[in-house]
Amino acid sequence: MKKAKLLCAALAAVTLLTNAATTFGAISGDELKTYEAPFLITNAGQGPGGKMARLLVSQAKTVELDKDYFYNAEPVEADLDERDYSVLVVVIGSTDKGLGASGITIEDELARLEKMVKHCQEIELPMVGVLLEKDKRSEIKTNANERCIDAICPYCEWMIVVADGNTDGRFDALKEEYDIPLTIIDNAMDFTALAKDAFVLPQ
Amino acid sequence: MSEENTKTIIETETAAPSPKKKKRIESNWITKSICLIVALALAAVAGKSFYDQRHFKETVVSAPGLTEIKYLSDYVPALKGTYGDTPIFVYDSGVEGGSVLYCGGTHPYEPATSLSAYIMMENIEVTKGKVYIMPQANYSGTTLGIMGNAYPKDFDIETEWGKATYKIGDRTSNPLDQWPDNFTYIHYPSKQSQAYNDLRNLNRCFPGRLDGTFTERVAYAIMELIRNENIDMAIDSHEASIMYPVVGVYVAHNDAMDIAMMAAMDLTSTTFDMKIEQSPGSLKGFSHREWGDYSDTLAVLMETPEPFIDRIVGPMTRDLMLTGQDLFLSFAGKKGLTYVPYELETGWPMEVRVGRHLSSAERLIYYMNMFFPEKEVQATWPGYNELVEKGCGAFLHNPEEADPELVFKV
Repeated sequence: MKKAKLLCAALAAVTLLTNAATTFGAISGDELKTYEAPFLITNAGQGPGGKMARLLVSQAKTVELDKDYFYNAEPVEADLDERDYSVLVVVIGSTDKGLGASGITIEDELARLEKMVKHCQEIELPMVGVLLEKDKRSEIKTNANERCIDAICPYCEWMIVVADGNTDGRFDALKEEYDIPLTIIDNAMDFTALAKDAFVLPQ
Repeated sequence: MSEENTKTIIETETAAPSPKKKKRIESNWITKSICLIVALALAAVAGKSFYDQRHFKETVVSAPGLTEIKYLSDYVPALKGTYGDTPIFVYDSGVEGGSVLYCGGTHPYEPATSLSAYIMMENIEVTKGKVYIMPQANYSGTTLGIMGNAYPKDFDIETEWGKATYKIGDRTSNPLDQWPDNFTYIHYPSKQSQAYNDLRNLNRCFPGRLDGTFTERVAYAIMELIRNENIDMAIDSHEASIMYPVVGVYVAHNDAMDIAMMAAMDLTSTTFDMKIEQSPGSLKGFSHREWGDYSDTLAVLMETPEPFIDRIVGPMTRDLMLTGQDLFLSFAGKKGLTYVPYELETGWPMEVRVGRHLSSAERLIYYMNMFFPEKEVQATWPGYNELVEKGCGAFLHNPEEADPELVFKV
């Protein structure tokens, strides 16, 4: 009986330690998914988020840019077909400066995203929706960021969101409605640790 | 009209004025003279204020590591003796490394920029590489406030030893130094058409030209400074109204984007919220674009929130400049119309804005060192947490007690 209690306690401790990273650490929420290289990173909304993700993945030092993973700000159909990508990582974030500088409206951007999502579905390329910047949220539903979230997240098979970007439970609601796993990172820098486990070289 | 009637009128007009009319004319002369004297008195009072701002010098006590003072006229001699000439304070560790330029006062109505430069100068210690500090990049713009905006010409920072006074200047060069404004402004060399009044805006005139306008010459001199001194990283500090989207942010040239992104994410996760924008290739004349395009430097612009320059604020007082607290702006904040959080109780005080710039610059250098070890610069100065805790005055030294060789009027 005593041995059984000790065994239970040991098992509990092991379980606790195993789950620590996703329960109490900088990464919480649903379990991480894993994708093998090559994968493609892009952005929705003409913001700098895609470049941030590209940089944070490079900091993991487990996969190499332009060999194991790629970045394309505005991939067209041919770009998505170019390699046998395992996943398209879409980083959401719109800025007035970004849209203004690219000379397009948010309507143009949403039309582009719609085409991109449609082609991903046609070639069965899974998408991961990512939000790294907490300021890329708004209480106003017609805000460009909110519209980008609506254009991308319902079609994703995983969402990774910085904690301060979900204080209103927007992504919890999407998770509930579309049954999409949701992983929360405390801050953008934690995306590097997540990337180490989520984006790996082929076995 | 008959000839007789005409004659009568001429006679009436040439006749001597009646005593009543004569008295009225004399009375008018007295009234006019009084008005003239009052107007001259008012002009003298206003003129003194303009004169004071044109000639007032800010005082700074440099840290002991100062090795050299350069001037923009060292790079463009035509600026010598003009209000475009401005000092650049050089802190050379003597240890081989990279070089960094920190600019304040590109827009002199954003005074947390020059104050951050002064606090950097007063407390800096460089142990590797060189740091160049230019507190008033557009000196001409410090010599006048924005015409029609009716705000104070200066503000005071309280210290243990008394008050230190700093100017609140204009956004652009003083019209006394560059006039008239053309009806259109075509940026050189891109030929991009810009707002006509940006012809005097230093941060629309880069890369500038030697034979251009006064402001274009200043811009050209700054480019020459960056090129001649092989500046590895050039940081242009600014402040922005909080209802303007580009606030609380780094705007980085594409070559400096990785550095600025890491610095922004680092600051956001540890110290304060900092956003990041890439300098658009199509926007011409800006430091974050042209410094990087016309030299090898890593160019980054930084913006802190400055409620004082928001369009909807109430009286533009010294208190507003120092605290950033405004009732009208708080209504906009409550409705989510500001691009950084805004609460009346907290505002955006000067020490927060200065602290943001000092830590933002420090993080940029940290990540430059990480990405480009061959350009390493090691330098320290007070950061955000110290400024917020102790205020700006705690980091300003008493010029009366300092080594006179380290006291400068800028």
